[in-house]
Amino acid sequence: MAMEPPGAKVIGVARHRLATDGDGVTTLVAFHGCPLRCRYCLNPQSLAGDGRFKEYTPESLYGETRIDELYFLATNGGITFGGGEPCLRHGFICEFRRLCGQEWHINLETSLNVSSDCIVSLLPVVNTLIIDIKDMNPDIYRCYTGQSNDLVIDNLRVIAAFGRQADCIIRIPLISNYNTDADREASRKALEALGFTRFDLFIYQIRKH
Amino acid sequence: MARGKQTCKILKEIRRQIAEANGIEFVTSECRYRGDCLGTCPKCEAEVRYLEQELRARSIAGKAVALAGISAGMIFMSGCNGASSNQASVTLQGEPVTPIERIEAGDSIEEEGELPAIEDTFDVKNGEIDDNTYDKKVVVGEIIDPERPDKVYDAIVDVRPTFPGGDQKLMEWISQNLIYPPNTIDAHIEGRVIIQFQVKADGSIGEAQIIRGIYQDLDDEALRVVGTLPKFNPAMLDGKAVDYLFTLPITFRLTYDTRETDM
Repeated sequence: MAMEPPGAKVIGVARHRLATDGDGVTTLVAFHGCPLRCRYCLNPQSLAGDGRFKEYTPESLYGETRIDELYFLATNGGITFGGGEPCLRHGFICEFRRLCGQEWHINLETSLNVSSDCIVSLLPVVNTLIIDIKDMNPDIYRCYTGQSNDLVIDNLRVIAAFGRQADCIIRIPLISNYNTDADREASRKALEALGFTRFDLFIYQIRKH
Repeated sequence: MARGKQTCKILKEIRRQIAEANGIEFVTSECRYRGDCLGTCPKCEAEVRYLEQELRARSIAGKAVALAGISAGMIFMSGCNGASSNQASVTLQGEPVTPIERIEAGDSIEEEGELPAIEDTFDVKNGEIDDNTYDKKVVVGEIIDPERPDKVYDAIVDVRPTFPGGDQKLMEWISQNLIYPPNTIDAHIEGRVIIQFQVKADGSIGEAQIIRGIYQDLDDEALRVVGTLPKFNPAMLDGKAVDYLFTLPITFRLTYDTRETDM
C-alpha cells in the first residue's frame, strides 16, 4: 500500500449537518482528490488544483471539529468523510479515529474505487460506509466515470467477507443519459446477492439553466 | 423559515435536553434575529461551552453524566430503503451540456464554520459541501450595531444594494465580462469563487476580497471583473445610504464538450 503524506488537503468542512449523510449531527470533511471523473461530479473542486485548499493534519482537524463534540455525543453523530474520495486518505482517517476515540461516529462517503488495502485498513475504524455505487454494470460505470469498477466489486466482496454489509448504505442513482431504472434494479439484485440490504435509490438531478 | 433557523432550533433543543438530563440550569432566550443564519452563532456557541463546563464540573465531582445518544431520537438518518429526503428538493449536481464554456454568477454561498454567510442568489446549482441552497435572495450576517455609525453593514438594511436593472442584469454583466483563463481551461479547472466586496454609500465598488477561492487565476479573474463593476444603487438604512458588504458567488464551469476533448 502506498504511503500517504501525513497532511491532507480538504476542500470544505461543513458543520451541523442534520440527518444528512450520517446519523445525528455530523460535520462533513471533504477531501481533495478522486480517482474518478464522473460526468455529473457533485464537488468538482475536489479535482481542481489543490493549491487553494487548506491542509489539515489529523490533529488539526480534530482540534477544529471537536467544538461540536457535545452534539456528536448527544445525537450519535460525528464526522462524515467525503470528497473527493476519502478512502485515499485511509491513514489520515485511522489516525483521526485514534485521536477522537470510539464515541464519535465516523462515516465514509465513498465510491470504493480504491485499493482493497485501503478498505481493509478503514473497516475497523468507521461506523458507516455510504457507497455511491454509480452502476454495477461495468460498461455503464466506465462510461460515466471513465474508470473500471473492478476495484469496487473487489471491495464489496471484502466488506462482505468482513460481514459489514449492514453498516453500508448503497446509493444506486438514476444517472440521466447513462442508466435506466432497469439498470438500477439489476444493480440492486447484484448487490443483494452479496448480502447488502440498505439501499438509497435516488436521482442525480440536473438543473437546467 | 429563514435559512439556518431550523438548524438553530434543533441544536438549541439538543442543548436543552443535555441540560435537562444532567440537572443543569439552562436558560436560553428566543433568538430575535430575523434573517438567515448559519444555524449557530456566538451566543449558541457560548451555551455549548457553558454546558461543557457544567458537565466537566459534574464529572470531577463524581456525578454521573448523561450524554451518549440522549438526543439521538431527534435526528435520524434519511436515505435507507427509499428516496433520500435530503436530496429530494435540491440540485445535486451537474448541468446540461452546452456548447461553450460557461461562467455563471449567482450560486449560493456555502455555510462553513464560522464564516458569516452572506449571499445574493440568482440561481442555484450546488454541490455537496454547500447543501443549503434556496431559490431566493437572502442576506445573512451579523447583527448591526447602531452605536457604530461608520459600520459597513452586512446584515439588516432596509434596502440591500442593487445593480442597475436588478440581479439578472448583474448576472448578465458578469457573464459577459468574465474571461475564462485559457490555462485553466486546459487544466480542466472549474468551481466557484465566492467574492465579497464593499458597495459604498455612493454606490461605488470598494475593496474586494476572495472569501473562498478555487484557483489563483480564476480568483484573480473574479477580482478583476468585480473591480470593473459599475455603480450600484446603495444599501439604505433608516433613509440613509450606507456602506454594505456584498457577497457574490461566481461559478466557472467548462462544458462537457470541452472536457471530452482532453479526456
